[in-house]
Amino acid sequence: MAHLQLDRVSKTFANGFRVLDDISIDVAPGEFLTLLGPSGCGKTTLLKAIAGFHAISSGALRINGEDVTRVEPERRDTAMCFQSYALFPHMTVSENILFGPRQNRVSKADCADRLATALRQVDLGAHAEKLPSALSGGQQQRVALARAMAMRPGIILFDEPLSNLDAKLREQVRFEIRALQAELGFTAIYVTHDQAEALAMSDRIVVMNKGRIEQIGTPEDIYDRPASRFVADFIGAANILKAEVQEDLGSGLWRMRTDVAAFEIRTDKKLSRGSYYICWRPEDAEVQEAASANNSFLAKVTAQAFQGNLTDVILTPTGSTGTCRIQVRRPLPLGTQVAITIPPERFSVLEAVQ
Amino acid sequence: MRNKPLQVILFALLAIVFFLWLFVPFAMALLWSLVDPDKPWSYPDLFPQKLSFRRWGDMWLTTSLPAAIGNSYLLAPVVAFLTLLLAAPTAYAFGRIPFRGKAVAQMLSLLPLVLPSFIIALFFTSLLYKLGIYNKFAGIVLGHVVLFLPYAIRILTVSFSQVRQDLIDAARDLGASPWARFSAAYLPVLRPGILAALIIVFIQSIEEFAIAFVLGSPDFTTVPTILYSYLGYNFVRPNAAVVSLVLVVPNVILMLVFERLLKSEGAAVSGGKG
Repeated sequence: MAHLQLDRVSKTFANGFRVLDDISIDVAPGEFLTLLGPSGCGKTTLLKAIAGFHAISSGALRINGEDVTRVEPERRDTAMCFQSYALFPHMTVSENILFGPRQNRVSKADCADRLATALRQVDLGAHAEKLPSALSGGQQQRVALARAMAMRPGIILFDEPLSNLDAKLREQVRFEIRALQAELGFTAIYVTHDQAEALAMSDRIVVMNKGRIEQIGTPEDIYDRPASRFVADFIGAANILKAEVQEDLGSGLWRMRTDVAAFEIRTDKKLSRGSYYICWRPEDAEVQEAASANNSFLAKVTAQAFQGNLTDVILTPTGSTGTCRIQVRRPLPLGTQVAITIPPERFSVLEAVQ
Repeated sequence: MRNKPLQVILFALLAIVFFLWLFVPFAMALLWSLVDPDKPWSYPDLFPQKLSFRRWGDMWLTTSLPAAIGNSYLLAPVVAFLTLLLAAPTAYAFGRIPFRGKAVAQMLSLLPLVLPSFIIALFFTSLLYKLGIYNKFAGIVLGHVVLFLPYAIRILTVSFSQVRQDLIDAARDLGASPWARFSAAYLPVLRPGILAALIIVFIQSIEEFAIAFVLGSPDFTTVPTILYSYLGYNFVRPNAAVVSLVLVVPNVILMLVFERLLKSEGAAVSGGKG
């Protein structure tokens, strides 16, 4: 269990491209932190910088308070689970798992103990003497995890470890990783571009975009209170509108005007005059036959997709050219007009319109 | 399976090629080397009148063939190891480091291949004299290394480029020393390339004539210089046949051993995700 601190970490490539821009994160011991973002956002570069494979241009990395910015990857208290698994193809499962402890001059007895423990933890005892090529993708992934755990590191770094597995297996391994982390207590830094994976596994999520942190927060925070259009749009589905501040109604309630309707919106933010982006989630809409007085608007059903457990409905608000998206239990007849109501506390106020 | 006639034709073609280019020359060389000195093999005899090993014995006792064999088989391993050592850093750079002008550098490194070896040999002699290297063995070693570096560089470049970066990173991440990193991530992929480079340079060195002739004559002989002495001006076909067999048979055996080694290597390094 280790305490990781990133202090204003930046990295600029030789061609001037800023791949990491002023990243500061404090990861608590035993925390499961996910770096989430689209490809090219710098999340894997940041992970490799933590491992020591990439030198950073400025800033500092500290593990348990000790500055490791210039420490070689061999000497860092981190172990990595590679996206490609990176198992040594000419070594058996046991040899792969023992590679790290042997390099670090761990005693014979301790090696045997670590091997037995790791094999039991990932349930691969029956495959100990096989070569990686004789194993399935899921098994190889578990060997990679066992090899990292056998190092007994303070931090395990996961580089999209599940991206090569099929959907069913991915969900299973997700639970296994979380269970092992709870059992062993290592700090986990987990890179993924899959928002569902991030929401399901993390204690906290760092949403990254273009080398910068967009938002850090618990999965609920990120989903319910996105800080920017990028976060709202990247995580789940969101209806984003431009809204102009009209009146401060007191105790955090504001009247705002959009081209769909005027809404009363509850927010912790202190708003000034001008326009902001606001958003609401499809599942937060309440559907009625007729418009009620507050926070509602009329819209016509233009398309829908039945998903089984729910139905995605696309609507065109009356007097607007845009569309919005809601989720309901059962399909609505195409072309019907419905009234959509969104409660004030269901809105998130995002950044100001520039 | 579907195209049976085509298969038969191709197989027949292969058999004919094999017969004409491999079996006939070998059989002829063998027959000629066994011709008895007293009973020459001449028209219209289809086969030599008498077969004996007397030529082999004569050659061994009366010519400098034993010394030449010694020279050749001392030269070749030295050349092979030196070439490998000198090629490795260049091949590493070509295979793993991106840099400006790499394509040009790679092309330049192949230049010795297109120059006629006699031209290299002639200018190399004067260069060696200028440098004050009069030792014939050392001179030929240097010449051969220069001549065969392109092969080794080319083969090892491919090997180095096939080493997986994620394995290097994984080894480092697990705390590997530089040697452990090399043996875990590099060596399994490099080994076939190293073997190939060693054996190809070894065989090339054994068979090389121009440099060995220009730098070594008159007193330092190798198997090819002896062979050439029985061709041309004083042409003695049975003797040439003996020397050519001495030259070629060990090389064929080496190639076969090499094939076996490559096959057993292949199983160990393939597999796993790329």
